[in-house]
Amino acid sequence: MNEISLHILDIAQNSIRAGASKISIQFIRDSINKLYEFRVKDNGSGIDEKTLKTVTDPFTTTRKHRKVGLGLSLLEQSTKQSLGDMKILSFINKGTTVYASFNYESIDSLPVGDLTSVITILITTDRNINVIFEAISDSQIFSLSTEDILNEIGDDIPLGHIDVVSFVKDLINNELVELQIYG
Amino acid sequence: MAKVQSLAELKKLRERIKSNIDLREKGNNIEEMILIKVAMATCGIAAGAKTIMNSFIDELKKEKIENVVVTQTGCMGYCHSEPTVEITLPGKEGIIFGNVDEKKVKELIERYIKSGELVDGIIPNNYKTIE
Repeated sequence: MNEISLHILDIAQNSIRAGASKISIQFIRDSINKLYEFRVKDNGSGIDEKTLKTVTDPFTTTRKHRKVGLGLSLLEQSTKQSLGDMKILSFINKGTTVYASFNYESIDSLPVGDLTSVITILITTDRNINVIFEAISDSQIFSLSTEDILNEIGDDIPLGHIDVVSFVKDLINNELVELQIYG
Repeated sequence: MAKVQSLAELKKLRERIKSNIDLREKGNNIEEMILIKVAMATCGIAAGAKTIMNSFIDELKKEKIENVVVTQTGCMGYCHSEPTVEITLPGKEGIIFGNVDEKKVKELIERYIKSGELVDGIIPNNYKTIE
């Protein structure tokens, strides 16, 4: 995992597996505190208290077909090396929020990476999972959700249709560049 | 807050896609599309699944293949062969290809998607899709 974006993709996968129907993803560039921050919030199954205590342990996983779960452990490592922070808040049957921050002036900090592709992939994953994306750069904001897209394309065209996906990708890219999210 | 104005352009695109689908299917099922799933759990992501997804989108656009749905899926249990891609041609069973790189993407489009010819790298189908 060598980009912040890839961590977002990975964390959001956990939300999908937790059966979430709504996933909010916030990406913030805070030029005052020199931070990149993201928050992934879902309404999925949540994590029980016992698991939550050891959730960043690489040998903690709820999967049956392999014995390791590296996602959150790697995120913890990445935020630490970037002089940032990570928090997980979770309530069983209510949902989970993962927050992470990265000091972008730290020499070991991760680059943002290809946020456009990651958000495109997530937002067009499933018409039953409403992914709500917000990018905030100081005081400017851009938002787009799966629902916004479905409102335009209707019921009879697949959300993952290649033309829809590449349209959404161009759109997000233009907006993120305008927001100067990459610095 | 400036809502994306150009999102409305998606409606135009919708009409175009719809007429393309109608032309091709002539009353058949819209489901008759090529389905490409790229596995994107921690293992897949770390192995470069996102790049593979992007090359599929770019290459398919270049080849003007339009009846395709590209999406992502979770870990299928083949962490050793990531990035993995499942391709389902209309009316056929899905086939999983492992260790896919950008060169492989081109080969898959050229040989499997266009002409249904099997290529190297197939993961045998005695698998169970976990998600």
